[in-house]
Amino acid sequence: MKKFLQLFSALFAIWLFLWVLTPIIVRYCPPLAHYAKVAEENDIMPGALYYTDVPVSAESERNNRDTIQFLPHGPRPDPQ
Amino acid sequence: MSQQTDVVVDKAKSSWSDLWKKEDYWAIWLGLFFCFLALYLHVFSYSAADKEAAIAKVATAKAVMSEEAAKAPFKTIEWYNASDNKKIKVKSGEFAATLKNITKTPQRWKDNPLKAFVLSKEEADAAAAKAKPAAEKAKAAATEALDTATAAQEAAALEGFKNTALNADAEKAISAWRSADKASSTAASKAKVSPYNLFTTLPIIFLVLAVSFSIGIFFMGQSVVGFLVGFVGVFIFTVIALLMDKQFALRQWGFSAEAWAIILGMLIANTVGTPKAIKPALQVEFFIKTGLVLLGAEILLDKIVAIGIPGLFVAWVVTPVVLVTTYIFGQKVIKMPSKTLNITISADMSVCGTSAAIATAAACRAKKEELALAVGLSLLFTAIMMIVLPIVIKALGLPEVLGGAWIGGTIDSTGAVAAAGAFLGDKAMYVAATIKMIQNVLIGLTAFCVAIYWVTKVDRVEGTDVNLMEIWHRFPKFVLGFLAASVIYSYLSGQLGSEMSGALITDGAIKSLTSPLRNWCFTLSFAAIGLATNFRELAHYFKGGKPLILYVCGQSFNLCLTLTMAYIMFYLVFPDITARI
Repeated sequence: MKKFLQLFSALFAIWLFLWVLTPIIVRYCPPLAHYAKVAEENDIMPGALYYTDVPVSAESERNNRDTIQFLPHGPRPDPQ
Repeated sequence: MSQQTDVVVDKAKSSWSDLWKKEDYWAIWLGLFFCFLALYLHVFSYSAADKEAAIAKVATAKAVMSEEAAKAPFKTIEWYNASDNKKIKVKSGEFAATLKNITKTPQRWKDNPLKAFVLSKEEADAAAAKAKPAAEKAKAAATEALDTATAAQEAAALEGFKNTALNADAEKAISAWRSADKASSTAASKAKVSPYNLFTTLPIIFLVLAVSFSIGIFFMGQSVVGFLVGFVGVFIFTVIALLMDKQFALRQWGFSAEAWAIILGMLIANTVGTPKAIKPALQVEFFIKTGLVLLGAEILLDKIVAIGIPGLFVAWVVTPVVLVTTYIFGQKVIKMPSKTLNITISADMSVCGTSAAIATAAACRAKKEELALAVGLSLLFTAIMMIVLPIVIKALGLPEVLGGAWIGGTIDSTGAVAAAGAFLGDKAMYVAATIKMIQNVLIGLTAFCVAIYWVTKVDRVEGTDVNLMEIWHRFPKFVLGFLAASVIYSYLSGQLGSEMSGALITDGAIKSLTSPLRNWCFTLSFAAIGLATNFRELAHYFKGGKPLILYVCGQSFNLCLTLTMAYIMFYLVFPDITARI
């Protein structure tokens, strides 16, 4: 009985922290709210383990590769 | 401590029967089977005609980009359009699509956990209809931003792109259009909602995993029935951890399914106790090694040049220096009793968090409590750093590229790096995610070097020589499968080129099969770790707070060195690249 009580107390503590306290903390802490917003916009799961789990990794790689390979330099200076 | 008492004095032996009797080999057979199946379905079955058409499309886009790069000193609208057009989309075959479907894990949910498993057609249509007005609004905003960008670019073109002020205006307007266009794409994807029912697919993935692991269990001489009975419990537990991972608000803290599996498993094990029937299925090493061989497919070596030499220096020079220094610091200064715990913490802190901890712990045969402790530390500091570091960067007024490189090189978890980068802006996110991706690739080399170091130095009896056969006998064989998967996938990726590889290997073979299976294997292994871990044993490893001191000191060094290297490479050596990212 005592063991079950311990288990349910721990589960209750997790529930309280994540479902009750977290939304309150996020609401009153602008950086956390901004963090949640950008993660949502970019479809990022902050717990993702590897780059293949993060959709923006492919976009980032393409952007950086293209920048290096096709670095815009514009018209060459006119010959003097 | 364990190294002193566990010094191996007997001669290790290998025999041909190891090939079907040892879990290391079974991890290789299972992992490579799925790696090859994924290649067959997504790469080898791609028709030559489609390939030719895709190559022609990429060549045309590259020609446009070359032309545009010479035309203006900034990325023009046409440059971006050509970059987007290079993306190749491949439609999977029926069997490949079915496999992708059955490996699905619970979907994202907010209030009702049932929504993670079932979404009816009516609910999907209603969700799509709800998102439609926002999608239309975002599309209109993107169109308007494009008109403004086109006008600004034309004004700069009239001056032959030689007027600095007009060029700057055009660059700014184009950047605004890109942001609006991205927002429009995101909104459009939210307006496309498909129904799903995981209650039909979860039993199938259960069967696939249960049968695959049972074959190995049978040949390893263990009870298949006992394993299968216990596996039902471990699988249910794994599904609960994956469900928690997808709760909308919970992701705020960056807890992965693996973390939930450990937390919930330990709660059960240390309160009501893990049911006896489940214990035969707590095959931590078998699950983890199979997951690592599958992870090998994701270690594509051609990724390391994704951001050129600056990225290579930040990720591949700083990281090994920090890893080795932290390990030596742990041994010489803090005097960590366990070398395996020391190297596991050093790797997860310097390379890339949980995934590096898993690979390193398996390579040096760390105890499950040590892996759990290293992952716990990493999660705690990731949750803190992913919020604090972007705030510090903003407060210091550091440029986005430098901030992104700093974040990418220091925050452990890959997902948290991308989110912290996005906190600062798109540029920071691109740099941070790419640096972390390059660091991710370092896992293979780290695991291999740690395995070699352990068999030749740490496990060696003092005063004896270690010959090649001895190294072979003691070497953790699954690392070979891990490296083989990486070499095969990297070779094919290099042959295909980045665009074709992105479509066939990353989006095809990896994201459709090997990566979801790796996710299942890792979550299963962490559920097994949690269910088999005693709080007291864990507390024993934390004695004196040495693991915490090691992490804090190592991370402080990492922060200083990464920032210095990023500044030198991105601002002193390659400022041209930095200016155009």
